[in-house]
Amino acid sequence: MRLQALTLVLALAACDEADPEARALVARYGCVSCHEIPNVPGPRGNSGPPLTHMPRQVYVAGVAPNTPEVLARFIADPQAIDPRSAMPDLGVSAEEARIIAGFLLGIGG
Amino acid sequence: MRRSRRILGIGLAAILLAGAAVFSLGEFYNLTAIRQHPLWVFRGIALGRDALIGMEAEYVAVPDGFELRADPASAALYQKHCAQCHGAPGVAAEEFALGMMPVPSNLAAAAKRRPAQEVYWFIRYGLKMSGMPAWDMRMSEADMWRLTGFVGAMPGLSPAAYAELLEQAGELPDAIRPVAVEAGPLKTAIGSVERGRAAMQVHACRSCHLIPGIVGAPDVFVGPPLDEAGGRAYIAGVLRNTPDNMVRWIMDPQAVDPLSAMPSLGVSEALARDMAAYLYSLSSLDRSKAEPEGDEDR
Ligand code: HEC
Ligand code: HEC
Ligand code: HEC
Repeated sequence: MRLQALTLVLALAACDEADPEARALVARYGCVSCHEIPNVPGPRGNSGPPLTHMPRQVYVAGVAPNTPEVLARFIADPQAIDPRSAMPDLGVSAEEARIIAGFLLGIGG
Repeated sequence: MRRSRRILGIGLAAILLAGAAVFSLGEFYNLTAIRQHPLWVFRGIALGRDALIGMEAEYVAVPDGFELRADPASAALYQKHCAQCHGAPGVAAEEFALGMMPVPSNLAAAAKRRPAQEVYWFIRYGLKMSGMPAWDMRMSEADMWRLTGFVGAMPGLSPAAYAELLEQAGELPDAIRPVAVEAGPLKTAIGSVERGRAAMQVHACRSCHLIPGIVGAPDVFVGPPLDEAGGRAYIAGVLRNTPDNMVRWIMDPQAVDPLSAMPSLGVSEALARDMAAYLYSLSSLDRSKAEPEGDEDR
């Protein structure tokens, strides 16, 4: 029991350690003004869907299979995945998008 | 005091023991579709089922002019919606149905022992945990009675006569098409909330979405959870959220966004309005009440 609690605390800490870069990017691009994102403070906007259970979603934006690559491509250029998407192209670079996608896919589980 | 406690204890133990015996002797632990029920379990289930259905079907009102009748249109309807599972005179069920448990009954035989009201009851409400689907809200009242009349006439139909009827009918009706469903009570501006919930249940919306008020698997995320669908700025990330757009989306998602993974489920406009009403009623921010602004399409 104590061991379990310890690993949980360690895991949470590790998660926090690995994330600051992704969190900084999410903050910089203002993703939370349109999305609810767990553990990222902000207005919890609802222009876009909540990003609270990305790992279990079958599709990205309801149109493409949810893989890390597709998710990153969508974040970098939403209209490349769905021309009709209402999410604006925020000018996120491919590398930044990869980091954010990794972060989102680590949320919720 | 001591005595009554002892009697209670013995009573509880007896109930538990009886439950365990039924569970193990009845082979309820075997969940496969190839292992049949022991005869006494089968008989017991059938007895209970028929007693309940008999009581409920008494309240089904048979419409004026109803008759047992096999014509080309009803044969086509039957071939389209029922023959895959139940077969037809001289026609086998589809392969998948042969492996169902319980195996779908031969309806010519069923029609010999069931009154029309019961046949109608099966068609409209289905039978839980048997594989018999409910057609409530997805088939018009007229078609359900037409099928009831056809099933009733089936014992008098030879294989050749059935084939002849299908021949005369020509093309079968479309795979999935909205039906004109009678408007329900409790109309609000955009639809009936409670009917919307029931309609979503019989259109399999819950197989892809989490929806408060509809029971299902806890972790389906094929589409987004619909608890806040009525409050988001966009529907499916592409359409401005207005009641009319919500109805448009529910009726034909791929006309709105051809890439969408949500298929059209043949929802009629009336029911789509009811579903929209239910979705707006769930959401903490009800956008159906917001003032329309700007371009309706975006
Ligand atoms: C101006 C509002 C807005 C901003 C800012 C915004 N998004 Fe979006 N986002 C949307 C909308 C609207 C959708 C729905 C688009 C669709 O389904 O096509 C969406 C969809 C998404 C999706 C797909 C969600 C799903 O359920 O499949 C992801 C992932 C996403 N956004 C990530 C981000 C990230 C990361 C940022 C910050 C870099 C961001 N968004 C910033 C509006 C926004
Ligand atoms: C997906 C397969 C499937 C389809 C399609 C289907 N049924 Fe059934 N039906 C069943 C099963 C399974 C039962 C239950 C048999 C049992 O309880 O032994 C059943 C039972 C019935 C019964 C009661 C039969 C009896 O033995 O008492 C009737 C009547 C009936 N169905 C009519 C229809 C009609 C009419 C249609 C077409 C509108 C239809 N069914 C479509 C699977 C199906
Ligand atoms: C086969 C799976 C599937 C079924 C069945 C299904 N949906 Fe969907 N639904 C989806 C997907 C995937 C999306 C996301 C589509 C997109 O973004 O293009 C979606 C999106 C939606 C949305 C938009 C949600 C939002 O927040 O933007 C609504 C509303 C909706 N569906 C309602 C329904 C209703 C009502 C039914 C039943 C009539 C239904 N769905 C049945 C897969 C399904």
